[in-house]
Amino acid sequence: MGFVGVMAGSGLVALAAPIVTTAVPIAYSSVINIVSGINESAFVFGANIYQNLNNIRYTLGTGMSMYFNSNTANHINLQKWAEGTFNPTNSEKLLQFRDNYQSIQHYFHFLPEMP
Amino acid sequence: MMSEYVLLKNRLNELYFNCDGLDKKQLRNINFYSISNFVNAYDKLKGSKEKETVYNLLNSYFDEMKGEDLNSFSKDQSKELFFSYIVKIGQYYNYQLGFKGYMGINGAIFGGIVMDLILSIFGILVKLYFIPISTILLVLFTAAINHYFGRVNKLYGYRY
Repeated sequence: MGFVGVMAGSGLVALAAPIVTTAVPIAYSSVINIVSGINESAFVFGANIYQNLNNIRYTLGTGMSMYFNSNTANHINLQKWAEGTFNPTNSEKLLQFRDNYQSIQHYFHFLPEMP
Repeated sequence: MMSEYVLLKNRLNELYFNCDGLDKKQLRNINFYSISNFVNAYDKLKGSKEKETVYNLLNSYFDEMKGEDLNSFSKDQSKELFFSYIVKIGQYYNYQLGFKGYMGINGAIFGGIVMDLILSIFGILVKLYFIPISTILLVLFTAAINHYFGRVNKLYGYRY
């Protein structure tokens, strides 16, 4: 009985080995594809939000600057602000934000802790 | 003396000539359709200062594309073009001519799922029998924008 069991086990291993060796790289590459697909979709969504925010900024700045005469400092500053764009965030800036938040949180304990 | 519009149109044609053999996806990588829509509507822009800014930005875009290998244009380069030119030029066209931002359906699905997750955290989605309302609405809205504004060439955005 034991001999039959060992034989059956080794037969199963012999059967499973090629399946595993082909399935693992396929599974790995599909996981990589899915992750990069999600990453790209997140960027597409974020890029749309970013450009809409900049459009709102331009509309607000230009609209508010119309309340002032064209040669006044307020008009010039608002127009300048409107024509600029928000700086895109990167991981370095997010880390910097985290550091700043934690240093503020050190003094104001009621602020929630960052995950 | 040639007008600015004709000069830009010539540069666009030059770029189009260099893009010979590129497929739709590769053209989207260099934001070709956005730039083409900007150049074609350039004459409708108002204000000399605004026109000058747009003209300079479009010219710098064409200068940058001159030395590039368009066949192997990476996604990172595409992102750089988006932040340096497309967003900045798009502000003027959005405000004056009503251009709309292009978003791929994959972005809409992602945004919808995120919003649906937020709704489910607040317990709103339970009351709606778990129908992913945000995803459905965002996908429909995005498809409508892409369809209608794409038809009248008033669309611009990342990888468009």
